[in-house]
Amino acid sequence: MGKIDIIYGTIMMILSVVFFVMTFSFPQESSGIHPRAFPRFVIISTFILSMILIVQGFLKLKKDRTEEKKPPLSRKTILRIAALAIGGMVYTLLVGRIGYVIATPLLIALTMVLFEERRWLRVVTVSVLTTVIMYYLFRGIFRVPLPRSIFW
Amino acid sequence: MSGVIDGIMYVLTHIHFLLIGVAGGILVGVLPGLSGSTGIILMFPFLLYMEPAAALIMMSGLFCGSMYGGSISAILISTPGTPSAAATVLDGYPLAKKGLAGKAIGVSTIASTAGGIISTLCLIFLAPQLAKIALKFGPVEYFSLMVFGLTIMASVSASSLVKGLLSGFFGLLISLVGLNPTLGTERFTFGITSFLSGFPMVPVLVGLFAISEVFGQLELLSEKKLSRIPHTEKITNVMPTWKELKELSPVILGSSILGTIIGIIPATGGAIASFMAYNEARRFSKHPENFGTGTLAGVAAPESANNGTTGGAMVPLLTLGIPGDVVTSVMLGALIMIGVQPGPLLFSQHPDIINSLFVGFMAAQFLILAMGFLSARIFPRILRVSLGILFPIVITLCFLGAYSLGNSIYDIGLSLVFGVIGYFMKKHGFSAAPVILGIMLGPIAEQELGRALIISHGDWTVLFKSPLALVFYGLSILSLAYSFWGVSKKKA
Repeated sequence: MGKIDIIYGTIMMILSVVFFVMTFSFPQESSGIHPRAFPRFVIISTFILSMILIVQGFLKLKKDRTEEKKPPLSRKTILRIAALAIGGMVYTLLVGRIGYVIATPLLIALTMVLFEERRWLRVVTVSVLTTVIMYYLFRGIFRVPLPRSIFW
Repeated sequence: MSGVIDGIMYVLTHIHFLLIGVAGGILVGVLPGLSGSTGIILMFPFLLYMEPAAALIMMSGLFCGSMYGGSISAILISTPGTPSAAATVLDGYPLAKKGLAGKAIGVSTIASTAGGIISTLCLIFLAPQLAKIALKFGPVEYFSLMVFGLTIMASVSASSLVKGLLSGFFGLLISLVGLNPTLGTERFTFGITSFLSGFPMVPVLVGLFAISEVFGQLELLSEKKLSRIPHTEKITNVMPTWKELKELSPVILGSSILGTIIGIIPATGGAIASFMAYNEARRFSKHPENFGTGTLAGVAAPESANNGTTGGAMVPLLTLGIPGDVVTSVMLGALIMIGVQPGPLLFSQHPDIINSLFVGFMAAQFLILAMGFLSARIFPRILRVSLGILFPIVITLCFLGAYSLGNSIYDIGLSLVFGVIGYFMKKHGFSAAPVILGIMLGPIAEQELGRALIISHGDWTVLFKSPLALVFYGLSILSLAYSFWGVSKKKA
């Protein structure tokens, strides 16, 4: 865990430094209005906390060098999680172009396969049916302007 | 009095929303991987089209139902359906192994109902009084209250105090992006136009609480760490005898009251209450050695306590706008989304909403009782639902929820990004609840601070001149010190 704490601490620390630099371009305080005060309070606290986390991380590294580590995730799991994240991103990029009715069954089918559903008939039925129900419910009844395209 | 009758009439004419809420709550409660907070998020796309009062009673039903539903999977498959039911596993599962699963579910149903009723009574009597006091709060008191809310959430929720606080400050940092609340000048937008309006709360909520859970369940499934229902369990003999009930009644009563009190304290919630009630029940028992081997009191105590927290947790949410636990923090997000700002003004400006909520909350308890006994036999079947169908539907509803408030595809992407962030945070001992609290309370804290400073012409000492504010600062320091002390004690 020590290494992970250092990584998180470093990310937050960089973030707080970047944010702090940006506060210099804020308007000056005038007549009781302090545009820099609250952001700087938040940023400086974040900086201090991330520093503590980094120090704790190094202390942990020193102390439990011998401690048994949690077994890392299997390759299969990492690939599946990455596939779901990338699939979701592709869906976000595509849904506006190809429309809700075409993009959503693909997303559902992908998720079903990742969750170990191997019966193809089921994958097709569930992904198409869910999409159709959602589309009619939200576009038809609730009047949500779900993305449409020239295809549908 | 006429307000109460109006409330009853409203709930009776909108009973279907309450029914959907309670049934949906039991369902998400029973299913491990889905909890009350995820349940409310899955309702987001529908809530937008409902009246505020109807939305509120539906969410309350879901809240109470999920608290009860969590016990079912704790008893049947030794996996708590929600974190609040973790203590129920200790005696619930041994009871099921003895073939007494039905009776354990029956006791859990009665205990949950009793806890809920006592908690609702407390809500009805305490909330209006507290709202009257809160009405007198000025900017300084509000600022100190927000500080209190943030520290207490950070100090109880993550694996360590530093990580909890850092999670909260991450939320605060995110809340800074967009426009300065008093001047309206642009800040921290990195030149990206979409950042001008800040990070909208709904997609962030959807991502951190629901999509992250889909990733988490995918990991568990892939690593073969999910427990499935082992065999075709038959649920029989659900009704406990009078003698058993009589013996359990002191435990149920005590645990319900304990749960209610813990629920009122912001940021505590069902998980803490149920373990405390379990320990107390064992301490006062004539046969403490039976605990852990399958005793009915070991199910009754945590279940009445965790349902006891529901009404209690609603008290700070409704009167102060500070959520009592994780589910109520999501509820706060949902309320703001549909245009209801919880706080003392809600009581004076919308007494109709409050009255309907009180009646609905009470009615939810009796629905839990009825549904628990009527549907006990089908619970094992719910647990056999295919994850390959459940989670794809969950992710579709999540994206719809993120999309439908602003009709924006950008929001779908944002919810996914926060889903990934939430997954990694949870994996590494951080907590999503303080992040959300930071995002929701940060802007309010900044606004109140700005107001206080304008009134005092820039004099910072004004923050420490109100006695009530000093009490809240004191409580904040106390909660930090307590959790620091607790952490170091655990290590020793």
